[in-house]
Amino acid sequence: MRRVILAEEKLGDLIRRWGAERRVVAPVRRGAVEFEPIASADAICTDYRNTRLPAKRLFFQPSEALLRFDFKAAAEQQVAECPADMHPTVLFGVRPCEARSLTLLDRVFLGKDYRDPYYASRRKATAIVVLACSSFAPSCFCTSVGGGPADRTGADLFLWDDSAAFVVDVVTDRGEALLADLALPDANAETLERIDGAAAEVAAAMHGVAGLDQIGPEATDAFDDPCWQTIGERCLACAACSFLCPTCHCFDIQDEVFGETGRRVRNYDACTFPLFTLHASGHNPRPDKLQRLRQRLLHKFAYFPENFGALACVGCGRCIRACPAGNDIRQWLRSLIGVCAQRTGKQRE
Amino acid sequence: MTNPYLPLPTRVEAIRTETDDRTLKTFVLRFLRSEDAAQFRYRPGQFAEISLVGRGEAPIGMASSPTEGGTLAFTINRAGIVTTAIHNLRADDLLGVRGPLGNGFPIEQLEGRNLVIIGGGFAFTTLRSLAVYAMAPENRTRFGRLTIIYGARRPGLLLYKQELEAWQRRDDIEVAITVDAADGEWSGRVGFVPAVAKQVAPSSENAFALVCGPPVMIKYTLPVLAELGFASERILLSLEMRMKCGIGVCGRCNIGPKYVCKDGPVFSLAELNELPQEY
Repeated sequence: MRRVILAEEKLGDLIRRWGAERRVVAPVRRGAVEFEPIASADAICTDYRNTRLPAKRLFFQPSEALLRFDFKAAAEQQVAECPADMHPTVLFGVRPCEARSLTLLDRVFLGKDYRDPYYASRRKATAIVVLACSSFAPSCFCTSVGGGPADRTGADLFLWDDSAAFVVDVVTDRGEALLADLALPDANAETLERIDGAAAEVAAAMHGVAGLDQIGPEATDAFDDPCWQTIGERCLACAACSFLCPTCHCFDIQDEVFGETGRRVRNYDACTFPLFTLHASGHNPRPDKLQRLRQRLLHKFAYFPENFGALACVGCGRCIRACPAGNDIRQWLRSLIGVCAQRTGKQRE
Repeated sequence: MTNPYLPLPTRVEAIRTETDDRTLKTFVLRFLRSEDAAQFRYRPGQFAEISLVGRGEAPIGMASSPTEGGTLAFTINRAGIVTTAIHNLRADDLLGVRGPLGNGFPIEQLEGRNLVIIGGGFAFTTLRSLAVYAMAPENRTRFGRLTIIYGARRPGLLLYKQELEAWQRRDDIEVAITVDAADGEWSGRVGFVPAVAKQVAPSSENAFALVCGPPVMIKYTLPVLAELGFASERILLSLEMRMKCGIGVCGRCNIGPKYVCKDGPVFSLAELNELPQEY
């Protein structure tokens, strides 16, 4: 992997070059910091910890039309798919947890039997430029779930803010193409030691959760453990956590009709909502809050790992910051780990 | 790769009201495009998302058998907004079909075996598909003895009545039709499905049991099958769940790590015993 130096004043040129052919989306501060299309590097905010909304919404949109209806058309033409094309884009300045989350969503939306064309086209059209973390929020715990402030998973280019310059790790061929024709000097050993050391310090200082790998099959054995009652009681089922989660991918599909036209729309949905699993017959496999919260946690920390070999959490901490009841998923996970450890211990006896 | 959310257009060729309470109707659908008909390969036990443009979709098991030729049949219970709107359709109206979805019955495993098909109420639809498939002249010799036990609460709620009568006249299969409570017209068996299964006592030797019905029927049928010697790997059940995408993405039909739409809807009892009781 090439590690080169990009002087800070050259960033503007680079963004301009990218912008000539592509859309550039970057963090912009307007009260909260969010990802927005930008016209110049001046709009970019690099001294942020994380955006309020995850970058997920650029690939898997909160609400999007899948199909268009025209009731006046001939029988075979009444339903048409909405085009899934996407303008070539550079997503600049996402945090490592964000890039990692996209690789997790890939496993769901780009499956071996079915590919979601909307997600797929946006992923294909988008190059990811990650900005390493030089600090962390109290709610960050990426190091506990396999990530870290220097995790390059999902990045095409990986940037380190080194005062007057960026160190640029060229992670993929696509990243290399983003730097085409630019003669950038290699970073020297001293610089690399400094930035890698700083990242290690950030990683070491984070308030993590130890032992998440212990939530395995034991967690489903602990399905009826009283811990879920305690956990469930503290949830308001508002689903703020799910809507802000960069790995939550549940959705609903609804038809909308406007006179003689209409559309089929998919909208974010959440497993913590009571209607989520309600059958038309009235039967609901998860009628209680505790069952739904258990589903949310076990999906991320037991089922997803079983199906895809990775935790469905990147430790961004958005759910912790957004919870109106002040719940901290790390606390829940610690009690779950405790229960699992106890069960494994009992089995050994 | 084609868009998995795009339904294939079909036209309603026939509608049959199945039950005297008019809550179950069978819709026979024909693809508008011959290439869709040629491409749509399914097996008994699979389902499809039936799509009524402007109203939405509902996951419905396929009641037809692939041996029946160019049309598809779905027996639909009028339960919610979409299925009620579908019930109001007439012949020649349009419906979309997204599928086939799900695993279906494991035909390869079932070949050469005796099949014991046990159904209750309107869950009989995909069992009907399997029964017709196994009884088809080109397939009959690929399966051993065929036993069908089917019950409903009362005679008026039995599905596919004419067909059941024809089956009862065949001498190469054993058919036991029962009702929980008879009325004046009924001269057949009276009794709950589990009790009838116990009377019929199909042998478990070289056999698979395929069970679909209301939870209470399944609850009392499973011990009967265990007593008859059916191993949990040889008891197959088909589950229902609320679904949207049908392809394992939208996240609502899972039981533990398994998605009913993609990993199911057919599971063996052994597989279900490994999963949390959340269905």
